[in-house]
Amino acid sequence: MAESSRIRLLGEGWFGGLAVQVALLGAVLALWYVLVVGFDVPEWQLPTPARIFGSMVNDFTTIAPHLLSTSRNVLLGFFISVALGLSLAIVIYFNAPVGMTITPFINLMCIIPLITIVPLLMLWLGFGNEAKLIAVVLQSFPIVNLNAFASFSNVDPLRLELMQSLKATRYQTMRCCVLPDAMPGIFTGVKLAAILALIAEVTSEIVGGNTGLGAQIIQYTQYMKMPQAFACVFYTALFGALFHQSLSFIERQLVKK
Amino acid sequence: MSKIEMRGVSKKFMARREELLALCDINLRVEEGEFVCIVGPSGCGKSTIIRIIDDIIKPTAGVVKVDGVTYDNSLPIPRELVRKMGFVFQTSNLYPWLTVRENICLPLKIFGLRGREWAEYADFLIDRAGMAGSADQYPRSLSRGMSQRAGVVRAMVHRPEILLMDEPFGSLDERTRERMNVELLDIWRESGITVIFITHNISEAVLLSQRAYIMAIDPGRVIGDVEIRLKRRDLSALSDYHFVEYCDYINRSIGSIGLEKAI
Repeated sequence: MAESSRIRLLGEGWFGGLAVQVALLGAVLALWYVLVVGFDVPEWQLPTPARIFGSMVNDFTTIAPHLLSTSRNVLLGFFISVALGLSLAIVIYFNAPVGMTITPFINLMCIIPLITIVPLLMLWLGFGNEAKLIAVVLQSFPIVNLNAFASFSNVDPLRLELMQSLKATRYQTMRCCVLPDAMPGIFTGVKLAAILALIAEVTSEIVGGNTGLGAQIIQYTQYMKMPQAFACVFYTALFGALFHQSLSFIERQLVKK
Repeated sequence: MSKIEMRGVSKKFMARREELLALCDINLRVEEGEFVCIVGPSGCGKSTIIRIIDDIIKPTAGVVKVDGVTYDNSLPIPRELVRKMGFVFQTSNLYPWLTVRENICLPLKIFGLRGREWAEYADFLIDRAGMAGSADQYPRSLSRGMSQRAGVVRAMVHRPEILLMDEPFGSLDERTRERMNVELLDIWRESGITVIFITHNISEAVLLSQRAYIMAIDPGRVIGDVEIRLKRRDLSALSDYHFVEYCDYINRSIGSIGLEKAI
């Protein structure tokens, strides 16, 4: 009884959950440190967490422009994807023939591995930001679109019937009933798109390009600067986690079900 | 001129690529200010009738005339006519993302009825329904009875002339249902609104209505109507001799066309 209540207290509430997560992360880093030092692993293979954190601080000025470039492309691509995915879902929802025509192509874009088209985009558009941005949009907008359309289609028919009873216009039906009802499903797609946008951007930077965290990881790895390479990986993860948490916060404010 | 009239209305649905005749040659009239119940076994098409009147679904054949305006399966009903009708669903059908007040005021938003007068009227109805304390809460915190009450208030907030009620108290316990019935009668007496009330509960139909249309199943059709004249319309009427007689008459009418088949 006492044991179960202690476990409940540990994970209870927002602060409790965070405390458990931080403790788990600390344990993983401690184990990492012990293994690297204990087995005398050379730094060019795996540096200690302390060396990586040191590099994150000391090399920040070098890494910062690349972090900025990656985050700018991810955010821009993400916002374009959400706008495009949602607008297309609304168009498809109200025009079944349009949906039947374009949905197979959107499904196809979900299936094609991004890594196969990034070299082609680089060939056509060069190694600048345009190719990366297009890669981000191509990777993340289909998931927004598919989730949004599926959520629109699953709106409770009785709730729609109220709108029909009031003879609401399409715009009113979408704004007052369909969008709020579909919001949890839309956010599932939006949060997945955020993850895919980051993956697409870093993948594009690794495949080709001089700027961005992906390009830096490749460069540092080639010169065996592993603490710096890992610092870039950590910054990528940190940005991804912050991005995801921000979206979860917005979701909690908007979804009142 | 009748407030509501249905002439030769039929409705077919497609079910598993087969046509299903849900309503067959429905003829009914409801006078202004009248309280009419449509009573019959489950699946006889009672709800379909008021959905056709409210133009939520179109009839396959026949015409509907509401307040002098005729419509059928080809013509959409004018917006002014939509405003004259309020619809109460079987469940409260409140939107969980809106507060109770926002839910109640939703028809005002859809019809573009802005201004202080409408807001004050909504507040009056909320107060009248005893919901002032819970108006700013979300529906999940309401009991089923309170939710249904909010559903009725929402249907009345734009001052409709006709109230279409689709078994609104069917999911409530007996005691709450009786209380809601009495409150509904009070509202009807005060407002003079025309009411069509769908129910499969015979005693509820007799207690509430001035006229009851009796329906049968397979296909859904009206087999008769009975004018109900009770001296009192409150809970004391439940033990009245005439009340029992009316219930018995409707019960026998439904039974004579095979209630066992319907069940």
